[in-house]
Amino acid sequence: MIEAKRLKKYFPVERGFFRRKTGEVKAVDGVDLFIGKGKTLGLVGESGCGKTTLGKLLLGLLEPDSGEIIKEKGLKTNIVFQDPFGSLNPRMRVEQIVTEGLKIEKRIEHLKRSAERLMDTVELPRKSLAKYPHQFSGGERQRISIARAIATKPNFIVCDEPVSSLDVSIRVQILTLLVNLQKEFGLSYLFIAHDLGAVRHMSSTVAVMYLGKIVEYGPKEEIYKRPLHPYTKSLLLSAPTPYPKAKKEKVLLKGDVPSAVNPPEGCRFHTRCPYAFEVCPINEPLLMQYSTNHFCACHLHQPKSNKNI
Amino acid sequence: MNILEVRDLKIYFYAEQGIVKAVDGISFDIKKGSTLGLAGESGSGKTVTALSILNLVDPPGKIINGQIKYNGASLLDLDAEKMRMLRGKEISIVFQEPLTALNPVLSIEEQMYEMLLAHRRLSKNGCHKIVIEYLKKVNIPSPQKILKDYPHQLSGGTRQRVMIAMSLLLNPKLIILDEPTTALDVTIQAAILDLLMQLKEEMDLSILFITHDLGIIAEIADDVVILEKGRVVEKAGTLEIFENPKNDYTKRLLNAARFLEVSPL
Repeated sequence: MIEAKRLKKYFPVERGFFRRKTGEVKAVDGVDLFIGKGKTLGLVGESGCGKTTLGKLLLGLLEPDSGEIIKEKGLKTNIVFQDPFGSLNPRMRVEQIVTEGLKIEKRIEHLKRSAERLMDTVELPRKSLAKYPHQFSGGERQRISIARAIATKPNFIVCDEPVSSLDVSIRVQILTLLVNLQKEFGLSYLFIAHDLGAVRHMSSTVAVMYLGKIVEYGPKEEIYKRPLHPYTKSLLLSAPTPYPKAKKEKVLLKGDVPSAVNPPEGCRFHTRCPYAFEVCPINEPLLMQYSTNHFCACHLHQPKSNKNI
Repeated sequence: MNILEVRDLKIYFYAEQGIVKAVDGISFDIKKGSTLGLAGESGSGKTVTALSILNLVDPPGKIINGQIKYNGASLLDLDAEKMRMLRGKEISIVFQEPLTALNPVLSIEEQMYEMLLAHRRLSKNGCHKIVIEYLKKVNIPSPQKILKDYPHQLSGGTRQRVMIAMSLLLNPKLIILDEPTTALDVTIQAAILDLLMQLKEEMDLSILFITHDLGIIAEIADDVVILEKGRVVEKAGTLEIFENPKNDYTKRLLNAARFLEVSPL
């Protein structure tokens, strides 16, 4: 469906009146990925790792500095944002919001019918169409965002943390809706998240990103049961679990995420890695294959081959 | 022995559209030296409950009924000056968003000195020593380096560590943590929770931990109060709530949390 090869996007850091370039934020720094038809790639990483930039590159909202994006013919894309408060125009009625993208290809009389069908699809009452965004709860607003995203009948949607700002009980409903829509319309998703919680229910494949690089990539079962990269392990073990007796052995990381302006030399994770050894600050590990479709970039492991994603 | 007792607390907001019963008759206790988890979703009244303990509820909100007793003494009867002396010294609070809780135009050093000097007579040198000691306590590797920084120059994790250091500066007995790790990344959250539990032992603290995350509750709380729309729907020991929840809302929250949890290895 959609494929990226050696994708790079740097943002200049400018200082002073003459906007001298003083550095670069390496937001996306040589990323390969592949998303099949009707499949979901879960993209996980913490704030500032470049996951949203990567999503925007795939949508064509940003131009990559280098690398290429190979799209299947007839690929139609759209996006669902994290914040259902900021991403809906407060002065528009729901009907206008969800049909905005349709106006160029449909006659007025069809728009109302399409809008009603969209409400049915996202399980909101049809009378919602006459209301404004502020009259809805966060979960309902996210349903409106989803209706808007599917209105133009896309086949690939970037879901950028669509449930992160919602209450836990509402999250489950929105995730269920996204899964149902995927089955119904054969959608492909890039599902962006900052932890491995929701991703488990959404994705067939998971990519873990750290400071602009994918550090681990593989089938969901592998990532959750046999994580290779210490960062993936830490993400899995850092999240608190709702079982008081579960005594997990935590992998506590040192310090903060370093700045993406001057990422650490060698392995970018070495400054926080509890297992770092001599080569880590010197050589940058490459993404290597360990088993079918399971890739990892870490000096701790001996790869079977160095095939690309 | 309870360090805090809340009885039949009601906090209403008098808005133009009518009265919002944000907290509607809740009661709970915090045992000395223990951690109470106050859990609920948005709009459950958990933050306003925290604010009421330090008499920080602003109009149109009003505490209209109830008792809040700290070590047996009623907090709601204290005059403004006595309450001010108690804040930070006996009970302190850490908010979710350190960027809004810290003063943006004062350096870290300035705001920490200000807090110390409001309660104690100290020389500049004396202040400096204490501030460095507390920044070390919260595992900031080189405290000297951040003293002259302003809040926006620090990372989210460091800012929250500074907030925690500030809240401990006057050696309070009870600390209220209102979603202190919600805005942070999971790996940073884990480190901060670890730090908080360590400090609790070290400084003999009692904790009121407010969160929407039942995972955190399971990890750190001794007792749990579940709030829904301003009412207590269930309260019990942590093991009891997680292994044998009685209320339907508690069960729903727990199921959702377990559905979304990152499976343990």
